[in-house]
Amino acid sequence: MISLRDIGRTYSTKGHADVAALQHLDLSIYDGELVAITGPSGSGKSTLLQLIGGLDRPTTGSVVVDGQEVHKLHGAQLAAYRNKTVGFIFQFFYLQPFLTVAANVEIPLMFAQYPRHRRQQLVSEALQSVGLADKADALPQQLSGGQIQRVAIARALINQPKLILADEPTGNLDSKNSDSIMNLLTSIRETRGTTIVVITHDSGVAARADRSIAIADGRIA
Amino acid sequence: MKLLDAYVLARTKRRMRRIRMAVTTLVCAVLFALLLLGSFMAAGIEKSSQLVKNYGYNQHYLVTARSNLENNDLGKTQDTIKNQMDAELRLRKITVTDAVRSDASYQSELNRRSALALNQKYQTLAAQFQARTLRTYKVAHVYTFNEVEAMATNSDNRVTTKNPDPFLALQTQQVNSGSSAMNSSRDPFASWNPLIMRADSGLVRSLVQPGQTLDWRPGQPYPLLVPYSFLPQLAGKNLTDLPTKQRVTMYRQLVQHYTGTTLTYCYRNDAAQAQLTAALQYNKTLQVAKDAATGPVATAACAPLDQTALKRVGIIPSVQDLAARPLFVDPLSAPVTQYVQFKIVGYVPTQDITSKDLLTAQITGANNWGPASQPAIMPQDVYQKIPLFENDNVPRSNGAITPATLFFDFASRTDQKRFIASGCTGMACMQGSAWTLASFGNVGVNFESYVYHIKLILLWAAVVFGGIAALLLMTTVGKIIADSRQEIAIFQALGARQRDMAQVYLLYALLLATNALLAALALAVLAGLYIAHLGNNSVSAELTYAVGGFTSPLHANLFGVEPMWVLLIVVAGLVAALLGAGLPILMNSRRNVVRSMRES
Repeated sequence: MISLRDIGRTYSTKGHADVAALQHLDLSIYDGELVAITGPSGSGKSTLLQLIGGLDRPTTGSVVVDGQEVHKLHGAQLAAYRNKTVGFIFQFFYLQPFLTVAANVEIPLMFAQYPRHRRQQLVSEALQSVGLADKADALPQQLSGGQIQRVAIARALINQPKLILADEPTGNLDSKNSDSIMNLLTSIRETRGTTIVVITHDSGVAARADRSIAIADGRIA
Repeated sequence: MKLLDAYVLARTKRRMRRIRMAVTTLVCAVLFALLLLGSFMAAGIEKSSQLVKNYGYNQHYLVTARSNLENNDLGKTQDTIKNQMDAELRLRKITVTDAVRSDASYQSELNRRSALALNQKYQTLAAQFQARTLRTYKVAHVYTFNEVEAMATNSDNRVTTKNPDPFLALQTQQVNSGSSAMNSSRDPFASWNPLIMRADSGLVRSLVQPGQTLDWRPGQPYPLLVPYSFLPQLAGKNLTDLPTKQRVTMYRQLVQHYTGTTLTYCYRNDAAQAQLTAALQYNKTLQVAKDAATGPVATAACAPLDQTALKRVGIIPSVQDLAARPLFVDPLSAPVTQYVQFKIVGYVPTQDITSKDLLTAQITGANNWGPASQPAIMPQDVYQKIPLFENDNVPRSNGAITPATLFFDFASRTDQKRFIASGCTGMACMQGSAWTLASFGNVGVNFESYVYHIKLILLWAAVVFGGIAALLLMTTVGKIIADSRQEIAIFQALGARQRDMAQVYLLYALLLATNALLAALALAVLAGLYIAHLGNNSVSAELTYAVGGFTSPLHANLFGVEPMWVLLIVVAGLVAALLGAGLPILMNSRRNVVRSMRES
């Protein structure tokens, strides 16, 4: 599913020495795998996730996801990749505060130009799958942290992506909600066969993954 | 991305930046409202100015052409004539001395012959000038207009409906108490000297009141167009200090009352008037000296004086006094005194030089009749049918004839302007045989400069207000979009293309601009209607007064809508918003998504 070869990512900052976030990293993740990436802050976990998700471009090496050479994608192709192949879950949720839950979940479908009736159907299914069917018309601020993250998961799932990239999805949640979210992700992986990559500091979360990959100083430890 | 979806996302931006959006909308709305208000007012003024086309001479693009011949050639002409007259006297064995040349009859004849010579010269020049003009420009008509010399120059030939011969009463007072009698309250026309002029019917037909005509048949009163300012004097009223609206109402009543009225005029030629003056003076001397030996000369109202009685008292030289025969005899020395009747068939809008209102004075300036500021006009063809006046249409001994003024009626405003531009200006008009050219009668032409200046002011206002509004819109939209980096990055992470982002934010900018413009439209319409409500009546009254539209008042509306201007302003506002949004959208959507998310 995911094949990273000799990945390097260096950040240049004016007046400062270049910082190598990732160096000579090789990694393969298989279809339907739930992989946890762990490591200390600044180790390069998020950079790795962003490279896989096509949010950033490697300085060296190649990123191939589901047969697509992500590092070579540009413009509309890259947007389509982010929209259809990948679903993102962020630590800070990044929901639109003035849109309803349903509308937030619907956003990726808007960019994919689905017809309205189909969108409503998909949104309904997605919210049902995360247990928030009754909150469709609520605004994010009316929800709890766990519910908000469920909305974010529904949004990530809405296009039925093959890959879900979750950047510390439980980082802002208490243990009960963390468990609930991880249960949800596990269930998604099991029911849909979606490949899930989760970045986490939480050893409990990592323990629930099929595989846990530790990164330190931009390399797999 | 579908437009409706873009709208859904764009709408959330508005809610997110409610205060900034509100402030920007309000300020932009006020600025655009000022701009729109200006356009409404300009359109209103322009449309109102078009209304004057229905009044007075506005159907015509007239130019008055007056020769400066008299100013330039009088001295030279008189030198030649003096030589001729001296030669005639020498043939009669009269020695020509300075005393002879100072003789009243010599001077009178000199003036008469000078006027005649100048008039002949003028006729030739006028014909040449007219031919040249007709060759160069497209002229619909050429009208002529003449001052009626004999009836006009003597200020004591007065028109009245109250006193059949006001001259008599006035003259008596004048003799008794000097010129102050001219201001006597007994005569409402005391301060007015109507100059009766003759003009081609075609030129003045538009001034005839409904139901009246310029046609004349023998036995009927002569049709006459009088200046509006004559009416208060006929009625013995002073309207000068009234507010314009009230003045218009009063004039309307006077027009309704006096249209069709017959005026009785006591016509007395120079000889008759000189005899009357002498007779009155003689009678006064008798009163002072208490010498009734020869008795007073009878002076009945508007009746010829008894020539025998005048001879008896020495006013007319007797046969024995033939030695005192003047050097030159005035060809029109026979006295004529008789009633003449005129009928008021219309009114002449004239220059209001007394108006306290600058606009009115400026507008009425289009109706300046040159030598006469307040002329009464008789149709030329009627005048020519009246033998009495025909006889007087000769240069008289009291001064030079005023040459006819030519009125060229051009087919277009462009030709009219070109023609005027070809004339002389300032001191150049005082040299050679130059012609003074001026547009005439078309109040709309006077408005042109007002409308032009108003438009110029509005154009600058548009540049300033529109520019500020556009800049404000651009910077606000730009700032808001620049602040939306994270949002853009999230949307990009969710699969938005650059095009989708552009759609969302351009729509957002358009929403902002549309709000501002809608508010501006509402504000401007309300303000415009309010200003129109406040000003329409007084402006209508001023314009009605200026064009003399007393029987059919002019209804000005300061509020008008010129769709093209409104469209331009709206488009400018929308374009400004789009421009303001365009650059930040481009910059933000090209940024690294991760960096944008991290920075935010």
